[in-house]
Amino acid sequence: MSEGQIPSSDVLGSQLGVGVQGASLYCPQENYTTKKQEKPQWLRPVDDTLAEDALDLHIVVKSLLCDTAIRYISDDKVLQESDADDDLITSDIDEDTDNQGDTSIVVNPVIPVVPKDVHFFKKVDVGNDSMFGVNCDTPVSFQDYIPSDLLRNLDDTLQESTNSSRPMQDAFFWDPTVANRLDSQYIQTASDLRNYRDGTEIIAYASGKTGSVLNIAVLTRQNTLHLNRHNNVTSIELHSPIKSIKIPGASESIGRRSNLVGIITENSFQIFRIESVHSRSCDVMVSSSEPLYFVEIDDLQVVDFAFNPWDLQQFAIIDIKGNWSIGRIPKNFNNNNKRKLQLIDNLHGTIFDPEELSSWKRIEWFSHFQKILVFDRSKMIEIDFMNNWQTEVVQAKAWSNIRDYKRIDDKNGILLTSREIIIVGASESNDPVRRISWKHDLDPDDTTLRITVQKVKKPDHILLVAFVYSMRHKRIYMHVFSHRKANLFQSLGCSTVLEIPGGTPTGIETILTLDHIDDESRREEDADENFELVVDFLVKLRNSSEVYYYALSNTQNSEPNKQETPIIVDHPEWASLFNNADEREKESIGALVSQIKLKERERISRVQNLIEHENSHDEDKYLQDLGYRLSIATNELLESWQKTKDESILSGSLSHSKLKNLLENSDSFASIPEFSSLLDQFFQYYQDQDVTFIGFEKLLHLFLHEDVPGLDIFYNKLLQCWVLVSPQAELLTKEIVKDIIWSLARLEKPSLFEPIQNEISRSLSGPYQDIISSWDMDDINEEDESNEFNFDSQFSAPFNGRPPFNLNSQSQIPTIKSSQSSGLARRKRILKTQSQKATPLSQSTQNLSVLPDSMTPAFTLMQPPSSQISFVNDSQPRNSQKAKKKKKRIRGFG
Amino acid sequence: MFEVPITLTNRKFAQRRKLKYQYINYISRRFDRISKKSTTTDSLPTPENSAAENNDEEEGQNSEAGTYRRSVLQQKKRRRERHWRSVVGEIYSTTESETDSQEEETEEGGEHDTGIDKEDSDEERKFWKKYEKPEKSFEIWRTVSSQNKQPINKQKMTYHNFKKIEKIPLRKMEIPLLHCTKENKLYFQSISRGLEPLKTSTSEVRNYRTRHIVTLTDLLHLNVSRHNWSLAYKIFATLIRIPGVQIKSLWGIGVEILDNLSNSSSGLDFLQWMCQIYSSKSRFVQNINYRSIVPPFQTGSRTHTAKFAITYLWSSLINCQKSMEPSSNIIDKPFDTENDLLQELIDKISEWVLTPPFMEDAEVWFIYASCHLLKADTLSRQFVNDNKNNDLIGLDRDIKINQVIKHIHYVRTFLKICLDKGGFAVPSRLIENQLKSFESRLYGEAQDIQERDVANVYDSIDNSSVENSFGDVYETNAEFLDTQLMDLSPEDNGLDEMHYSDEDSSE
Repeated sequence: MSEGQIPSSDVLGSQLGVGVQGASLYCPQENYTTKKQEKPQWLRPVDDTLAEDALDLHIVVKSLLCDTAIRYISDDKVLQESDADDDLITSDIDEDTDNQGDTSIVVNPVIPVVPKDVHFFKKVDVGNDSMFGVNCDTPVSFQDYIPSDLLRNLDDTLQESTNSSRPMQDAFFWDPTVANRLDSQYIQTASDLRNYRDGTEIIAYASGKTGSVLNIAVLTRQNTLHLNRHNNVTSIELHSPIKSIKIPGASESIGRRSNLVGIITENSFQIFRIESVHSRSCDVMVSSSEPLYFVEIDDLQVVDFAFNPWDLQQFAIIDIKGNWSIGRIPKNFNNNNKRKLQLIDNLHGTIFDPEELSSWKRIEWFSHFQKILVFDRSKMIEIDFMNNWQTEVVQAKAWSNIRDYKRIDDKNGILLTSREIIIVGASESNDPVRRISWKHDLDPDDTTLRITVQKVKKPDHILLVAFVYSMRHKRIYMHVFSHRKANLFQSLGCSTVLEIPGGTPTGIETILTLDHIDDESRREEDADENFELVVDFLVKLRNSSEVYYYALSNTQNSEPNKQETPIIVDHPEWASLFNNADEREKESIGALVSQIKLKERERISRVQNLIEHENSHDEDKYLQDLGYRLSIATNELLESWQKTKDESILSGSLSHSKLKNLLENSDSFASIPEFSSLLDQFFQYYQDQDVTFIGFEKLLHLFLHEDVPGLDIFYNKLLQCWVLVSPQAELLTKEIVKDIIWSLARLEKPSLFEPIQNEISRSLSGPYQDIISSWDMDDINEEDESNEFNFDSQFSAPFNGRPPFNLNSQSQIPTIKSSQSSGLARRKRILKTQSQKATPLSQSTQNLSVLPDSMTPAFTLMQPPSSQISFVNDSQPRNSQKAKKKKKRIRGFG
Repeated sequence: MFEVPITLTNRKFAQRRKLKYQYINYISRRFDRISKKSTTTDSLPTPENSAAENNDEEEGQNSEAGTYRRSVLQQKKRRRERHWRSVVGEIYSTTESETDSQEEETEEGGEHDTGIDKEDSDEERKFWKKYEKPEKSFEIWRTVSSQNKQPINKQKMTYHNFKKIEKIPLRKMEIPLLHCTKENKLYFQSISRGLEPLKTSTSEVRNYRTRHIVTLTDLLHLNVSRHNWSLAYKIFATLIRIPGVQIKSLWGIGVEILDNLSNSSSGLDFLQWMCQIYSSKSRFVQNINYRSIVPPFQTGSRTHTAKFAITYLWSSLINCQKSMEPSSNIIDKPFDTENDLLQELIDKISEWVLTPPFMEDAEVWFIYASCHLLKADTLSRQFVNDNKNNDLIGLDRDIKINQVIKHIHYVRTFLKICLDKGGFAVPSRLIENQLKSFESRLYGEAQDIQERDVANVYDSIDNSSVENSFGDVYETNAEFLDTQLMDLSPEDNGLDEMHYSDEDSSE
């Protein structure tokens, strides 16, 4: 082991996490003198020498880069002047366009120009969506067989479209074959190489209704990154949904960049070459290879591809079952006979695993031009396709799975598993070795985790900023490693969670970290200043068509940005609501906020009062008084209802009320259990008097979605949630529970509605009364109810009750006569129903006492002897019920 | 968003897991059969087939099936080695530890038996019997060597071949799919086609209490990342008091909070409590379906040192070093502080090293060596300052020289043990150079003193004769160490040192 390395495990390297210490190396000083206070230091895997604020990144720049739903068409082509070189290039482009079979309408120019310039106009699309156009010129290749994988993929896309039509319904599954459909890199064309130019930054993305249009455009940097000023975008229709777009990054040892763009669609793999970029109009000229259809290679869909960083003419592909192949790119795409991508016969293999069901596969070159790494969810295999051997380096089945891999440079890569972020380096023999890892504590079941890395160069080391993101949320988990000389990797020890502001709360589809051309002057400036970290990337959210550019920094650039960004970052949803709301909505929101504040003030004042008066003895007295006042008020209410029953019924006022309105000062107590027991006793007492209350259990179930047997438990569960909000959480929770109880508690008495039924029955005419009287239950119910009413009225107001009693008794005589005249069958029915209920006994006794003597013999003579026996049997339980009622009434509240 | 520190058990996900592993077992069995048939049916001799036949003749198996069987055999060998290591470890352990480990094993068995249904464990255990569950990391990492290299597997899996393999398992799965819910049926169909689920068991929690724990966990991680230590402490204190929450999965973040919060007790006390409560005397069993506890970063066993124990040792060592530095100007006081803190740590490690898993862990031995390295460095600094102070003369000087030499030998001995245990890379040359620099401090000063005292040879002889006549204990130690210095072979030094360390341990 060389010097300057941290001691670590041979195979596993340094395993780090939050609060975890790894193996360190003590470095004593060689000379000690009293003058210099040099201290020995530890060489540790966690570099915590930076300040805590060093990694607090905040958004400095946010701008909309492009929108994949918009078709960018430039209007300046018509007026451009042409040069001799451009003529040569355009002549080549004409051939390509003919070969591609693009159909377009020629627009007559307003200004007369040289005839050669007419070719420019073939690229202009006027309102026609080429997806639905018929390609007359290109011959349709006849295919006998369509694999069912394609049909399933089409079904999946249809399902996705149906899901998109329903915004409320979330998708349950996602297709791992859909990788990044957005990429941005620096490219160098042949003319750039000849003229020693650094290259051009381009972006490639998929657009269109079915995601089948490839767009390539030039990007410019003027304080922020945005499209070229002409909004010139080259669009190519591929007639098949695009699954993956990748622009290769070449090796640093070559000293140049590539000019290729690789595309995977649903049925083919294709490579485009950027022939030239016009410096003035930012027009991109592209030639393409012949697509490599999946039907030609084993009928399986290609998932991923990679380009050889040391040999840009070589590529590798892998399909959904793990079959990989090495291919070669023809040097010139203009020769019709040799435009086809060729797969080398001997260089192929498979990592098929019957126990791995996912279609996710990855392929990437590693530290040597003949070594590749092949991944699926549970394996990482190193393959040397020249020396014909392979090794399973990583097996991730038991505790974790592989989620993503990104290549950093010629010797290093970064691997994301469901548990850790691992930096994989190359050993002396160019084999993958685990250097350092950080346990990220993210959800291990989230299969949509992805990682990107941005390299930030400092004077003596390189910072590797890793971003982990997901489709399920908009937070970005960020962690920083430092890479120093002698392959020393260290972690900066703490992670940051970034929040993407704005938009709907969906996940992140793609994050692209951007590459920078090195500036030597910038490095020198950084050495003098404090630790400065600037990071920028592109973000495309899921179910969105907008691509945003973000720049983050740990320094404070300007005050207005500082004022705005904290609001957005801390409360993204609120900010979006306020931004999108109209003036009226803002006013209503302001009113709601003011009401909420008023209620909070009231509760705070109550809490202060409770704190001032903390005496359990007083509270007991208070609860007793509360019970007395509540029962007295309820009794008064019931009496008032009876007094004004006719008026209230006629006027239509309801006979129900809130308990809160009966009392004043009903909130100055602190113990919820005693209050709940008080309410229980109160409810039980009045339920016996035919007063009904609203049930709390069902209503509280709606709050918590659980069965709540009592108010105590409801209070405790709320307190568990809110105990962290403030030190006075207990008192605040009590106040909220009181408000809920008093607002829900209501009472009503259904017996008050009975008189109106009698009046309605009287107002009916004779035949209608006969119809109603033919129903036995109605007659009996009316009689019973009227008797109950009289019975109650005697106790409450005996003197006032006599005249209506006499009236009712007189009205009952015709009903009895009608029953007598009906016949024997009706008598049997009446007697049966009377025998089942207890009230007829009181009826008969009262009638006997009140009726005149002339009516008595007829009534007694009509009854059969069996009815007498039933009366005698019912008398005993009747007496017991009377006793119970008396006992309950004697009991009560004071 | 973050990992939840409880075990999420759900009927829906248990059924999904059962369906998944059942299908996987069917399809792998079918794949093995077809791969065997394909080799036997080949008739025409080609270079590839002849190579395959040669492989079959050598191993009697197909290459693809052979890879699995090779791995199975390797795993069996590893299990046997692990078993024998544990047996050897038991010889050194005392009877008390044996009884404790047996009790813990029974407890663990009881817990897991109650937690896992028999039907679920059948299919899942069949799957996991093929693979080794790593204990020190989440994945199995192998270094590339001649043993691990295999020829490239060039038998491609085509669409038609996969349809053959897939046909019968899908037919078999129709029967259990009849008894499933619609959601689980959709889940199985999607997974068998290569899609992946977007929702997880955490996102579909409907239980009030579990949802509360999920929210607290997210708040905890967010506040730690934003350095809100006081609020993070409250959340952590609330979270670990909820029954069912496993503190093993939250210990790292707890240490971070306690170290950054000034008023509370330090992270070291928390780590010490973790080491005491969660003892590591139980044995790691491969057959159990560990669903609630993941051994890396959470637990230790007889063959695996817990990560919190390693963190405790390193944190203690670094804190000892930091506490010694400010008082380096004062000569007398740092001796007491050194002895108090660093000596306690050395004594503790000397106890730990006698028991498994620490006696087999190379990193623990490296920490042990680092303690002595630190002590040798601090003691040897006095000789650099001695030019100005001129305090150390005669007998005191010799005693301290002997102490430094003792610690240097301890460092070498423990480094050798660390390298012998294996699996741990150490810059030994760098440390050796450091030790030589320490010795050069001693010898450089000694030579200076000898040069000064050349004129007074007679006086020094008289002093030495007087000391010998008294017969002090230090003289015997000096002679013993001098004899060690005279011996040049490292083995003899190692043996003597081991003997000496045994005496120390007995004391």
